[in-house]
Amino acid sequence: MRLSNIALPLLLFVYAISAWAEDRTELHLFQYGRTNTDQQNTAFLDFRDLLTENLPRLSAELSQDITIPALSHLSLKPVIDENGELLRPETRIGSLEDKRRYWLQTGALSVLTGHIRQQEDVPYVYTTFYWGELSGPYPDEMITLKLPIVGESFDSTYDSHSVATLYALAQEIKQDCENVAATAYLLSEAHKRAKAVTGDLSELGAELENMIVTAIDQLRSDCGD
Amino acid sequence: MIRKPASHLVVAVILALYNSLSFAVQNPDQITVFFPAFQGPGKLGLNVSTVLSLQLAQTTRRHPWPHNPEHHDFGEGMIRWSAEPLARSSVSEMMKIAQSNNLLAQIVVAGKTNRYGKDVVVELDIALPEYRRAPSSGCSGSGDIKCDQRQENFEVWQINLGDRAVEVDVPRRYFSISTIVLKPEVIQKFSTASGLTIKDARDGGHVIGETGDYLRFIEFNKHLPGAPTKIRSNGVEGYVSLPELSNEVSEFADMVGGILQVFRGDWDEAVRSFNRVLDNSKTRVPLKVDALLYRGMAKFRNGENGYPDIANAAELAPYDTTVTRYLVMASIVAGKSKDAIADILQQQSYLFVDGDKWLNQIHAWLEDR
Repeated sequence: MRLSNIALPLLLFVYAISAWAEDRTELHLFQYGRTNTDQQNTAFLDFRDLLTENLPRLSAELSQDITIPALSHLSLKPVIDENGELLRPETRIGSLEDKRRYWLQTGALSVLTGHIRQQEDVPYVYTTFYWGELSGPYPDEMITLKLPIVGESFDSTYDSHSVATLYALAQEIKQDCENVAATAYLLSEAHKRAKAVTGDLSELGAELENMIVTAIDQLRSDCGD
Repeated sequence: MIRKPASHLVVAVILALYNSLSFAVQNPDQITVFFPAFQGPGKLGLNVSTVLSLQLAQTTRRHPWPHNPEHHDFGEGMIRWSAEPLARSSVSEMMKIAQSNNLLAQIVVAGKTNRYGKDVVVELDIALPEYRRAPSSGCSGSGDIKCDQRQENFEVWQINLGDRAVEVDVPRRYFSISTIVLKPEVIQKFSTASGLTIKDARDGGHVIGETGDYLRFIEFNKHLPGAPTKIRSNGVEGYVSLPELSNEVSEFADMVGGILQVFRGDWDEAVRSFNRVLDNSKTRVPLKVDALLYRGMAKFRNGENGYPDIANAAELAPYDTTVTRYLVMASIVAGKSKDAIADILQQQSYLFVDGDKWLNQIHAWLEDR
């Protein structure tokens, strides 16, 4: 038997084991749909920049208070083709089953897909935030966030995506109640941001708040006080 | 009292004096705010940061005026503005520059302007680097935490429990302010202007120059239209008017101004600043929680009852460890029973990591009864 016939599967096995052992910390971003016009594409790029620049900001802000290794690795990973262009989701995750498989195999914290929709003169971003087996007590394996791309909604866009990210990260580090204080910390920070969203977008904010409160109740129930 | 500016840094100085009979504040230290120009295209970041630094400067006071019978003394406050933006706006960069030996700033304001949709927004980050208190012999010796020569750390809330003392730190050492959506006319004007227009009279007059890399603040008139501010820049002394940057009033100047007053022990002025932060509909919940904690603490230290503010913060953020610490401190100062305090800790114990030093101190105190 040639050495390469053994080495390659072994290498893949080692990679899979090491990837599995690490915390999920990357948000995998696919190309959003309905970005054919300049205006819609520009809106998507602005949104993408917001996520790219503000995830490290979120991580830095929260890392001042507590040491959570996974928090410091939080990042947005564009899923790109060989030309450096964002992949359209249908090429890799055309079905929900594909998306589940992708999430399991890649070690992503969440998978972001969506589209831009113009309503009157305002572009809206619709993001499907897929967190796979990290759904916790939330009744679905994904949540959809809809926000206008205007300056007044910048903070709520940042906050709502932060809430979804922190929720998923909290589920990731919960690990059989070994990190209760750290999990509660992430959920508490998510809770304050969800309340802030409620002030601007009451329906979305209420849904996020409810999601976080339910997760904290479950944490206390599962892990005791 | 103005220090010689270092290289491209400049600024203005605000002195303040104050004190109250029972809660006298004698601040022997200087508090420094470092305010580098914001990142952004063209001159936009530079000009926006100039306006906001002037707004911040206006929130401070040299002396309680016109009445200051008790000769209150808050020590010296300084805003060090720089025409050079930070190379990177990461928190580690902000802390590193703030703690450099020729600066030793207690507050850093960093920002950038970004296009978002059809708008341009200003993102603002605030960092409060941690310093250890200087012993009477000065800052000799080494430690994990840098020393900034201050003898008083008013921002740390300490209470005595008979034979021991417990303390809590500021609510957060790095946080964001709500983004400011710039008015279109501000974007248009500030993108190309090399500086703010300087005029020779407070109520108008002739243009005599523009602000440049060096700025020194001389006089504030925040209650007049346009809040004309007397400055010296590029060898020209005159007045600049501060335009409304946005259609809504930002909580920036009041929040950072309030924190600056806390660092200086100016409790009255801090409470007034946080009042405005909490009255501002723009203020988002995380910052509102901080403002309530600061205001409650400032009231206690001014001899008033700060418990309601801290209890309100606990309602807004019921799962927050820092809020829990403040609530326990407030409960102790407000004279709540040890049973009531023990109940809070029992309900919130899951928020604390094992071996939390502060929690152990409180538990030890509760057991001594």
